[in-house]
Amino acid sequence: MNPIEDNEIVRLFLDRNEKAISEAHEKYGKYCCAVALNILKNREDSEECVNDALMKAWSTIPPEQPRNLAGFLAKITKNICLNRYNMEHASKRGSGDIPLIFDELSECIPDGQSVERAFEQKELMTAVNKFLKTLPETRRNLFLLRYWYCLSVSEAAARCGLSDNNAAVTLARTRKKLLGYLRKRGY
Amino acid sequence: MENKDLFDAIHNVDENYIANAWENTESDRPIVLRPEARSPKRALRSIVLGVGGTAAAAALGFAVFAGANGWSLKPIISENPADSVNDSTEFDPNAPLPIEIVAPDGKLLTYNDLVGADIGEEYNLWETEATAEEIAQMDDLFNNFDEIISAEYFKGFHCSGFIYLPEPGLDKLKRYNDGDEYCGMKILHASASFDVNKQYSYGHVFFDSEIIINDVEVILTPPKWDNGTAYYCTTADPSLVALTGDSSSTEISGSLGSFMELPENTPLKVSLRMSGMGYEVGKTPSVGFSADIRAVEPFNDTLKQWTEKDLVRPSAALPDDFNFISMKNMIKEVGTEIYAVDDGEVVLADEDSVGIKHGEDLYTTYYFIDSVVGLGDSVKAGQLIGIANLFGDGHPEADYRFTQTLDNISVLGWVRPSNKE
Repeated sequence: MNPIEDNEIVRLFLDRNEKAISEAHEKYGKYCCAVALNILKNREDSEECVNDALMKAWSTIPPEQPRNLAGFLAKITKNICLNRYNMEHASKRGSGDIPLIFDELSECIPDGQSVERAFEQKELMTAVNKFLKTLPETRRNLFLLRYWYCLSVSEAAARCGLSDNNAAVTLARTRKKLLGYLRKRGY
Repeated sequence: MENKDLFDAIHNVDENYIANAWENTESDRPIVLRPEARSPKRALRSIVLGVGGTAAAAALGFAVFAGANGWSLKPIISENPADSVNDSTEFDPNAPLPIEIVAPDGKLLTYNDLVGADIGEEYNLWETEATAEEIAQMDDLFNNFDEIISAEYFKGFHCSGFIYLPEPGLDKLKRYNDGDEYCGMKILHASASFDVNKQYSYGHVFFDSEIIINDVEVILTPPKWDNGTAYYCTTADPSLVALTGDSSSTEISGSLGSFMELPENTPLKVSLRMSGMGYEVGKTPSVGFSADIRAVEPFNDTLKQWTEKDLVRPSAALPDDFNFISMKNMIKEVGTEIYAVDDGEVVLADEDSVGIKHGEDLYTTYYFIDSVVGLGDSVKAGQLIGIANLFGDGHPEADYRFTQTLDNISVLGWVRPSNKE
């Protein structure tokens, strides 16, 4: 049986057809669960978050009409997971690479900024998107697997077919490149 | 800008990039989970009931459960045995694990050995892809640690909080925990991995910042966490040139200071690098943990403006125990021209690196530069090989590596700022 197309699933959402959720789950449930697992490291919590994400998608589409349904669902899932992670982290549960990722990303924050400089989140998002566009695909994938999907360096390396050391060095260089890129644009 | 701002910006990048990063990569390594006592199916039904009828909800719940992207186990060993996920069987902290894991000191690992350890997912804890029926059966087994840790599903695990290291001066391995002292240094954080197939252990250890070498007290900046296979400390003062070793099989005997000879009365800052170690249980450890301690030479202005007369040609054949020495932060301007230190052949040329072979066992490599030479090119001493780009901590950086013994450190490379002749 051929998998249903994304635009057909989105159409089901827009038509308020409850089949949208099961179809979305059939196609992307495993993927969303993987996104959640990388953050929460807990199957039950992850599955709950995936369900929450599908409910959120149900309430969000319309008016949203995602161009990339997989990425859209992944974002919702990750948002929900991060909220849960923050709760668990406060109560000393949960684990994963989130603190390490924050630490690594701190290398990309330029120093010595004027505290008076206003910072626009949207502009930063645009800048990061443009930066990603400059990267070769493998390097971009590795960067996102580490800093979006929150995989460990080892897991990200495995997905990209790289050795752990190669991935670690590549990520370090990419972080430095991002730092220079942001600095050049006045951040 | 705060960390969270950047984290959020990355989170909101183009959805196509997000999806492609997953779809265009692959892994056969499932994600390690932490078992929970309560059944997931009950929780799922209560969430999805609002969408459809009971039948649909139940079907959806099962589909979610079966559709998890692989799964595995991250057991949590609590310091309080009563908190163990093993609710249904009596817990004996001194019992050996269901799978025989022999620690490097020759003892069978028990639950007690893992108390307080955080067993992580980075290592080879995996299982073959289970069917939906098998996953459904394992649902109940998640409540029972012993049944989960079976030969079919358990291959190894990774723990943090302790490591096995060679006892100084002795020919055997001993367990050291976070906070223990080792060779005059306090262990800040250690981790170890155990593979049931190989009975092999790898570990990483991060030490406290103070170290005494040859009675000269030195101070390190706090070690930087690096999720790669190795990390290193650098000096607090970025103007100091840190020379770090890169040996992967250095043997250790006695204290750390004993295998490094330093000139007398030399004021030093020290850079310490630690990398993972491996050894086989039951065998005499032939490799200690890999560590190189190198002296940091004080940095002065003359080094910023090296000219040709400062160039030291590589001497004749190097000793067998040569080490790579890395010098960083020598370039201070964007666009600085980088020159080959000596005649040779370009053996590495990618988007930001150049490597030149000058002779047997003698190489220089230059990182974070835009190469102007290609693989296989012959270059002459002083020939332009690249331009320092904007990588680095806000300024360009070129990383030179040389092979040279510690006793005879020489300046082998030189750069010329772009605005000077």
